[in-house]
Parts: sequence; C-alpha cells; structure tokens
Amino acid sequence: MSSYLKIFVLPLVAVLCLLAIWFYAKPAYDKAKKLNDVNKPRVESLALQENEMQQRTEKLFTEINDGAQINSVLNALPAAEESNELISQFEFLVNQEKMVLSSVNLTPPNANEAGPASQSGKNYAKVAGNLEVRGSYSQFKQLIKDLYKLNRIVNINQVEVTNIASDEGGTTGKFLIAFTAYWQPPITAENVRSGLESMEHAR
Amino acid sequence: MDIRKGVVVSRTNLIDSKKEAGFPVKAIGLIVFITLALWAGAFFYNDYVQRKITVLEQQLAAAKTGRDYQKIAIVTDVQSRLDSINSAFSERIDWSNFFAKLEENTIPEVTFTGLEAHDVDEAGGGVAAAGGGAKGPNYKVLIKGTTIGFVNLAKQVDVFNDNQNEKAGPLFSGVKIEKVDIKKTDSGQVDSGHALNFVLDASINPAVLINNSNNNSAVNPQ
Repeated sequence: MSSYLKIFVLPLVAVLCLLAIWFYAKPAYDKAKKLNDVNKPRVESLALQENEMQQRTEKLFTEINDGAQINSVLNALPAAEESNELISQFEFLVNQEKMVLSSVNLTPPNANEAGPASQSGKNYAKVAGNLEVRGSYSQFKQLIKDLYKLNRIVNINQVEVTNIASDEGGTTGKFLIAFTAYWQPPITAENVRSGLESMEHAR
Repeated sequence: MDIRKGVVVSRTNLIDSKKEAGFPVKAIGLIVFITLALWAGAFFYNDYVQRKITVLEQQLAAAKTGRDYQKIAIVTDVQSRLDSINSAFSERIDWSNFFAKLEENTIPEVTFTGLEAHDVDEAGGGVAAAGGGAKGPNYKVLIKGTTIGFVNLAKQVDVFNDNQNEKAGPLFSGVKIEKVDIKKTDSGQVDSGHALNFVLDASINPAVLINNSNNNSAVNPQ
C-alpha cells in the first residue's frame, strides 16, 4: 500500500499544483495582464489627452483672445435673438441707401426652431422675417450688397420686385426681401463641465 | 550449486532485490516551489500594475483639477460659432450675382417690370436645402415684363436658354411663357406696335445662386 502511495504521490502533487496554478495564479496573472494591457494604456491615454486638451485650449485661447476676433464672431452670430438690433440695422441700411422702409416683420419661429435646432445637429437658431422697401432698382441692388456685408449674418431667401410707378426721379419699385438671421446661445463653463463629466462617465 | 545434466546453475543473486524506492521529496518540493513562485509572481505583478495605475489615475485627477473651464468654454463657444457661421454661409444665396446675370442676359428690347423668386423646396421661403444637398438651392422665378412683338419675346427666351457664353451654364432652365397679354389702346384696339405684357416662369440655375456666395461675408472664418 505504502509503495502505491509513493508511486502516485508525485503525479498527484503535480496535478494539484497545476490545479492551484490554474485556479489561483492564472486568474491573478490574467487580471494583472488585463490591467497592464487595457487599463494602464487607457489611463495613460486619458492623461495624455487631458494634457493635450489643456495645452490646445491654452494655445487656442491665446490665439482667439484677441477682443476684435471674438467680437466679430459674436456680431456675426450673436448669443441672443437680438431682433430689435437687427431691425435697427435694417433701418440704418435702408436710410443709408435713401430708400423708404415700408415694413419689417419677424415671422414667429416654428416650435422646432424656437431654440437651437439640436435635432438637426445644428447649434444655432434662426430669426426669419420680411423686409419691404421702396426705391429704385439700383438702390435695391446696393441694399442687397449692404445686407451681405452686415456684421451679422443675414441670408436672403426670397425676393419680390414690383414696378409700382415711374416718377420724375426714375422708376420706383416695391421690393420684398424674405431674410433669415441667426443666433446661438453661449456655451458656459458649467455646460463644458457637465459635458466633459458625462463624456468621462460614458467611457 | 546444482549439477544437473552437466549444467551448473549458480543460486547466488547479485542484485539486492528488496531495496525500497525513496519518497520523491525533492521533486515534490520543486513542484510546490514552482507553483508558489508562480502564484506569488502573479500576485506581485498584479499588485505592481495596480499601484502603477493608481499613480497614473492620481496624476490624471491632478491634471483634471488644473482644467480652466472658463477658457475651455470660450474656446468651445468660438469654435462652435465658427462651425455655425460656415453652415449659415452655406445657405447663402448670391442674389447680387443673380441680378448681374439677369441684366447681362436681358436684351435691350425687353423691360422687366416684376420678379418673384422663391425656394420651391421650402414653403415660406427658407433655404434649408441650399448647400445642404448635392443639388443646391432649387429656386423658381416668375418674371413679368413688356416688349414689342412676339419676336423679341422669343429672342429673350432664347437668350435665357442659351449657355454659350456662360461658364456656369444657362441662367435659367425650363423657361416657359406663362402668360402673354397684347396691350390695347384706350379705344380697345390692339396696339399697332404689338406691345406685349408677358410672364415667364423658369427655374434658376443653382450654380448662379451659390457662386461666390461666401466672398461678401461679414466674417471670414479661419
């Protein structure tokens, strides 16, 4: 009996040790390997991205922190609807071209376009309306050019030209311009913080 | 010693047949040692990697505390605005170019008295399709005018359809005479000069409307 034990003990120990390695050492090694191959590079990459983001932010901030540049961007696409300012700008341009401003109407936005149209992937919202002026054709052409040179982006979607009378000064026309201007709410530090945090939680 | 049939058989056994096999302590010890070494190695390795990751995570957390959300917000806001400005410019219709082309393509015998141009893709006059799709803006135009005689009207329609001198193609496509009225004198007679009031219906070539549309912009996004 004792000699049988002696014959089997070595293989038995070997098998037990293999089982111990399989069930205890291997999982620990696998876990370490996963940490080393996946988690460590991920944390390293996050740290790298964080540093790059901060450096890029600093660089871009230095580049754009020129008041004139930020102001021109904000003028082109203001942070609020600023309809009254828009109407004043139209009035100024029409007077500058010595035309007669008959009316300016702002069309109430659709429910979908009341704010930034996030559904369409756009961050901006539109202010649409109609501008009716009277004057000569050449004045009208100049007005269109002026509208395109305005600090704020104004696109003309539709034009109607009607000849209403010929007086001694030349032909007078009625011009209807359907326009769209744009605005975009500002991105605040709080928006950025919550956005980055939710992005990090999603990772 | 037996002596049978002349064969001598020795009974002396020179091999020690009853020697007991020793217990393989060394081999078992070696196997156990290797097992323990592997186990300990795995745990030490795990612990080492975990400590390294903890240090990296602490560095990452420290880096995050250095974030200036105010600056990031300003940069993100400006970048987002520039993207939106680009998008808004892509919707811009170059009406100056259109009127310039209309003047170039109007024969001296014709006078236009009215014009209505609207986007057929968007009721209400929007231009969402402009720049968004491959086709570009899809504008229809109604042009009212006067001329003397049908020949001049036909000439004008020919000029609108002609693309010989235009790089971007003809100004209009699908030009149709929507309506023609022959002017009458006060007494109700047909005007001797055959003066006509006409209405033309056509589609504006999108290339004319989007041509140079960004050159006269308020801001030039970089």
